[in-house]
Amino acid sequence: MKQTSEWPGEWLRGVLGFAVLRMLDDGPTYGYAIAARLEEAGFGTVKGGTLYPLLGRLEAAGSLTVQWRAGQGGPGRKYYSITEEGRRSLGEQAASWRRFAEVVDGVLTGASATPGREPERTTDSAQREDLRCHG
Amino acid sequence: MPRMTAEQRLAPHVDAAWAQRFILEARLLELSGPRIGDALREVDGHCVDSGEDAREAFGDPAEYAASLAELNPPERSSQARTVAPVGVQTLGMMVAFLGAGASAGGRPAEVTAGWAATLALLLIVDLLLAFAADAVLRVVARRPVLSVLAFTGVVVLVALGAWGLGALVDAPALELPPWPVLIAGLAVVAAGAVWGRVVAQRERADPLVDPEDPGPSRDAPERMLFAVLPVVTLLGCVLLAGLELIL
Repeated sequence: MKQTSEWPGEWLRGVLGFAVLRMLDDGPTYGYAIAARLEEAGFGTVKGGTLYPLLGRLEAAGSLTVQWRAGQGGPGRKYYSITEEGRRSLGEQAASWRRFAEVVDGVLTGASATPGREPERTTDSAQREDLRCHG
Repeated sequence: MPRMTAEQRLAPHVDAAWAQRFILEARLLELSGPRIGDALREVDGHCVDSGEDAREAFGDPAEYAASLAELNPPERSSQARTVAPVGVQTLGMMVAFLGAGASAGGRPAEVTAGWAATLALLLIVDLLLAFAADAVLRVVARRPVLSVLAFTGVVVLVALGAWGLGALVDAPALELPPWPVLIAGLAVVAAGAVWGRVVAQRERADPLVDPEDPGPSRDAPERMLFAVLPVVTLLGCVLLAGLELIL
């Protein structure tokens, strides 16, 4: 993945899609403006070689539509707009990401796993063990 | 005003070499003309906005074309489309060579086993080139002068080998009047070249389209490859006639 960022490429690969959808949820815009907003948000520099194939994938998935608009004193720009399908996908992915972030945070802060503690037995395995003891 | 090339028209702010390589790779990956035009326009706009050059922002043109091709399954089928016209021209070239020396020397054109073997070998080379067309085109695009020299070298080596073989063992299997053979050979080369040109034009029936101005484009021709074999044939005929007169 081509970007200049403090974040590992594999992290960005997982979140860049819905981050782009989130930017477009504010209104139609063009590729470089998306890259600039991502950089402003702290993602680092996302290169064109990464961004446009991603936008192409989102368009192919029906999450975006495109429209060429004449540029002001420069070349024209391809504007991307989020579709209803894109909004639905954004909502799902955002909810899923929040749950995942909580899980990761829980692991890191030790809230759900204490080192040295045995995992609790499930009801099924406890019942099977009881049967073996009494049978 | 001279006509612009596709990359000058669609990506005037992008390094021409990057754009040419991108177009070649995208064509080889079967991306459609409108898709390539759209991508080039977008690269151009991004480079203007970001102030980066294309290589900096989009990396290697071949890799960028490949990343777009993943999204766009092939829209056209292409396998060895251009091999038939090249095969016809090769046949015509060999016939013309047969007639050229004989015409200059005022002797009959002699069809020998060596000549037939050379023709068969050249046709096999044509077929191999067709099946490795993509790889060959990449090499030709990167090193055009070297490629033409290598191709000419192969033709000369094959011709010399066949001539040597013929001088050693061949008795003519067939004797033909030289001028009609020369004229027939040249006519076949010309017909093959015209056919090749038609195939190339049909290829260009999928032109690179500007998404902002999708009218008919009038790009300058990208290559004059269809003229290579006629030129080689004429040079070869002159060379053979000259050798016949000197020796």
